[in-house]
Amino acid sequence: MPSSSGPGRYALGAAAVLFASGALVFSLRRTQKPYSPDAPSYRQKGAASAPIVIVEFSDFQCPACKVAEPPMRDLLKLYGGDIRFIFKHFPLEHAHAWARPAARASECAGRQGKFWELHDALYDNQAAWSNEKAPELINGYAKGLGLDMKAFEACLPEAEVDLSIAGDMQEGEVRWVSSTPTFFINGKRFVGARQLSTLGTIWIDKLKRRG
Amino acid sequence: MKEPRAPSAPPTPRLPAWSGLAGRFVVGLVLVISGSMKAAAPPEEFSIVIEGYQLLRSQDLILMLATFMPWAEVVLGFALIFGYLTRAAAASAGALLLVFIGALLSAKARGLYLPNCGCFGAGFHPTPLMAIGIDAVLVGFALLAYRSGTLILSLDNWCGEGYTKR
Repeated sequence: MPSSSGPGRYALGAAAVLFASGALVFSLRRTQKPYSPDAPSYRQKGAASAPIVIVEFSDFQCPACKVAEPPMRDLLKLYGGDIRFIFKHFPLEHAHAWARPAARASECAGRQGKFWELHDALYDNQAAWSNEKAPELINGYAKGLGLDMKAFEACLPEAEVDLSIAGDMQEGEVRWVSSTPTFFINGKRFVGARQLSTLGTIWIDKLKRRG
Repeated sequence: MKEPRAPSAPPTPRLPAWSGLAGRFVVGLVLVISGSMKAAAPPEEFSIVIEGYQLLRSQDLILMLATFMPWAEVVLGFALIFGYLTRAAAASAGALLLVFIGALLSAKARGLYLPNCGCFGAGFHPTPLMAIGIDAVLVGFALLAYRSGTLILSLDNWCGEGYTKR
């Protein structure tokens, strides 16, 4: 019997090692839930049960993030029901001095249920507020959205707001995010608008086909 | 009269069998966990980590390493747990761990900022210094596995029996 001989047993041993390795990795791949970090509900779009989860690490003052906005909006329009979108703050302060104040403002708008409205206003007018006039202009956008300005202004210096942004930054660092915008679509990374609209779309189609 | 010759070297004390087993299981489990977490994720994730160490330039090589290295860790880990080709597996695991230590030390020496060691994928995030410590301890366990890992509960014993029977 081959298994009673040395070479036969070594072959069986090799098969056992390879089988265990393959079984573990492939079962992990199958059972792993898509990367969907915690975020306040106002920074999420789409159903919690959506099969595709897109997480964006972004900086409101980053021009590349602005460029990625239209393709992201197109994706949400095209695959809306299948996507859950989570926004994460990743202000790159060494390059963008007004990114953090903008992130704080968006958090405070979020508390009043207007995160996405201010998010869009910040990207649409990025060139206008990316300077010393930022606090004044951003307040103007907030006012334009009909926010309770007293509550909004009281919220801006709150430590909790900073903690929320710091939590996102830490999460990004842990995942080796080094530039913005970085997207994770069911855990797969896409950096920048071009990758999102080309490879990202192909990946989403593949995920949809997989069901 | 000639003095009686002193024994040239004291015999190396044999390590207890359980120490080899412990060495196999500790190194094996860590490699299986770290490798499977990386292998289960898209290879691009680990390639970002390898790129962060700035030791390799070729993107193709980085992606190839990112694809196969986690699998090598898992296979080596299971070989150690099962006690299959134990000495070769322990030596390879030790060498791999020394490579990791070298990479971490070199990053430290060059002042590179690494948010974490990247060794466990998205699962667990030790700092580079912690990772150097963990890897150094694991090299010690790999040595135990190498020295006396085949003594008990190993496939090598079972495979060896096949030879003796013949």
